[in-house]
Amino acid sequence: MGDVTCELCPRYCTIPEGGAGDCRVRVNIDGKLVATTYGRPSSVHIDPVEKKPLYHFHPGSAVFSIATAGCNLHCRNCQNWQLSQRGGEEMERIYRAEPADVVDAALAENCHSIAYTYSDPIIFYEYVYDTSVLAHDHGLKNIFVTAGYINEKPMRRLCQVIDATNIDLKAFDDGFYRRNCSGSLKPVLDAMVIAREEGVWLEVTNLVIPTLNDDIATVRRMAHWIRDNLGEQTPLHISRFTPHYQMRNLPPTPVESLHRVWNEARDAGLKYVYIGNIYGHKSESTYCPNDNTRLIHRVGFSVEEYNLTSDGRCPVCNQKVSGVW
Amino acid sequence: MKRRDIKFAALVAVNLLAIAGFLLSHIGGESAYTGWRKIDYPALMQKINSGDLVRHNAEYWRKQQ
Repeated sequence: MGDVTCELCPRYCTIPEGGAGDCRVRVNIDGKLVATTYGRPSSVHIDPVEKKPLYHFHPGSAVFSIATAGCNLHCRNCQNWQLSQRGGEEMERIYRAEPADVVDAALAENCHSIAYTYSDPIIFYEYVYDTSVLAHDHGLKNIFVTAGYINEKPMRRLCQVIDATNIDLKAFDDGFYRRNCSGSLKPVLDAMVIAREEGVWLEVTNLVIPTLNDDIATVRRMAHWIRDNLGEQTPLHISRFTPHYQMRNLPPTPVESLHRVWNEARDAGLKYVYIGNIYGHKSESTYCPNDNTRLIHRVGFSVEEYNLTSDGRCPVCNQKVSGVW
Repeated sequence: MKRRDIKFAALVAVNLLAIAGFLLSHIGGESAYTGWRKIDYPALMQKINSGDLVRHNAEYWRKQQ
């Protein structure tokens, strides 16, 4: 009986009986730490894998996507805040879906993978882990879409059962994390390195927010860090901000800003840099880093043309393209 | 010191005390983004009892006290 300390994420919440962690869903009941949303998602959808976004992981495949209430970050621009900034007891819609139910549904819907997404799946860790083990037993892949605010031990353990991850690098600036997300930068960088070390396919997203994280010197440092620590083959998704939640005072990111960031990332040597949230932009597509042949033509989340060879090479110059094809 | 100045100084002091009290009340306990949160515990238990939420063991990531 008494307080419990949750070691899942860098907050290390020490929770008195009857209280919850900062994430709202890991609760101290009678002196025991419990996950209240295990098997109780509040959001269930089938998405294309491009929506995660993952562009180098089985393009065009369908992904069974689940999320529960709660989050361990509190981003002022959160686009899923009705889900992420609430506890389970505040949710009106809660589905009953144990791991076996999720796997059965994914198979029935001919999905290739299960994605743990929308809110941050770190906070429903046990549900992710158990479902992932079962999914592998049935030939499904696992995708972890996260902001990466997690401790090393649980991240390494999770990497044993997930196949791909998109980690949202919100800014290469600790002050941004503190002011806008109530988090910090270093654990996120560490999580990305761990994913790479553990052999999980990794793509990185950076949402460019006008005046808050679009400083070009910071973007340059971010791109160099990705190149040096994750590799030049790591896909980087530069996404356009649109006003949400507590950040409705800022305009959508100007396209010119996205182009500046894109140029900076390419100049740093990153081979696969994408622009997201601008429908039909040519940088939604994958090009050969050697001869610039268009390899995968995307429009929005749809794959319109697929020209890679079966072993993931450019059909013109035979250049190997990193990914899981 | 004039009577008017004493009143003003007292007003400032009361305000400073109120601010200090507010700040002190947020040390060590529930806060907005760190440590832990108060939740609607009866509502949580109601949802657990109805099966909408669960008491799944999360002790794997519990630090032993």
